[in-house]
Amino acid sequence: MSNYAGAKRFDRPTLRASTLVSVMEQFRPPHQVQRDTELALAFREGNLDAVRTLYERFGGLVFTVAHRIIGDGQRVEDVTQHVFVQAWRLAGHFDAGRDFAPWLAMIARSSAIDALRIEQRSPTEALDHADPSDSALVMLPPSAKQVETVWSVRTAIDSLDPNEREVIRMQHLQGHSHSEIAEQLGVAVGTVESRSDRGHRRLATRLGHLGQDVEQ
Amino acid sequence: MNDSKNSDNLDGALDADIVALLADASTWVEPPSGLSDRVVAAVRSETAFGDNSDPVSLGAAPSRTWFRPALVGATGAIAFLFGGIIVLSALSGAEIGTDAFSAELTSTGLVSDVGGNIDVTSFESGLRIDLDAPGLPRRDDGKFYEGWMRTADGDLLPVGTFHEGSNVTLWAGVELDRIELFMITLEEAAGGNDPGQGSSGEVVLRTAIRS
Repeated sequence: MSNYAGAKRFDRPTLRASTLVSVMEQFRPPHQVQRDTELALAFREGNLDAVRTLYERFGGLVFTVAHRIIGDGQRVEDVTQHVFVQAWRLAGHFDAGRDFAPWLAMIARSSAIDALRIEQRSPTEALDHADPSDSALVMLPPSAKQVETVWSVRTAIDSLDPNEREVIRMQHLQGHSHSEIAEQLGVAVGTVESRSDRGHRRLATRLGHLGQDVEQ
Repeated sequence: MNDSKNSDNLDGALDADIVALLADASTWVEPPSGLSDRVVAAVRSETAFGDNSDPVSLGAAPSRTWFRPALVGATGAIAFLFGGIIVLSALSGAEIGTDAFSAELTSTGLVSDVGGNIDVTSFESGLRIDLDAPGLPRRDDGKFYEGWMRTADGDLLPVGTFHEGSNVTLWAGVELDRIELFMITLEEAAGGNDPGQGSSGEVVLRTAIRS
């Protein structure tokens, strides 16, 4: 039974995200597929609860992809918003039985690249004054494979236990040692080590499919 | 005890490129809390209007991939015409302005029980838009409404800001035959955080325009 009143099914062509579909599908158990199908149908109808649910599940991932391509700034928020509006517009072409993730990743990538190209066409300073790290100077957008990698890593991070996630974040992003993390969190070093070990094992399991094909 | 900066168990368990991504701030970023409401409002605006407009792209430079084909826009406009929303009329008796027309505004549902209309008159100095939307609740303390015109080329032009919808006069430096859409959005002053403040994308009223 659908959780979204008035949901209807339409027979429309499926939009194939050939590159990004790949292995993202394999992580969805049957009950998740059923929920996703109901969500897709409700989203297609413009059900606002479905819109919010879709955002809660994928907003962070879309934001991450946009941030990765554009860099910091208001434009990342605009692109994230655009992705969900665009997804609603294209929902009639989405096969309700498929995973949202690769489809949204594809929309996020193309929207962010469009936004980046607009910025690159509108320079506000002479190039002589530009910061070499300025995203506007990056001419090659990430490939679909790279976006899939970023998306997969972010999904794997979000699936971690919060305690494990925090340890991994402090370890990798902030570069802290186990003892430094233990001191900041007020827990034993052994606790940090076990959280780190469990977290890394989970990440390795979730990200093993990326193998040697990962592009940076 | 292992107290290395990055534990030894990383070396064998994760690909080096994945480890690099874990050290990248963009992998960990979280969207701002208010973005969820913005997204829902934008989709709601879209569903209320049916098609033809992209509130998200307000404030952005035009891009062909961000706007629907002109054919879809024309279809939407025809629907509005049959609904009696657009009424083109000759302005008899105008002393200075020419090419005036009136259009009824359609609510997107963001603000309940609102409607309105605009009278557009062409002058040498530009287009004057006389707006009357008395149902719009007053917005103060850094919050306001803003009018926008979108051209067939996808250009988005701000035409003025105001507190309430009665007896509002807005001006636009654009040719009448280039206008495709008129919109009113909910805005909030961004201050120094966004000196070139764009649109919130939260469209309250709008109408398609065909000259």
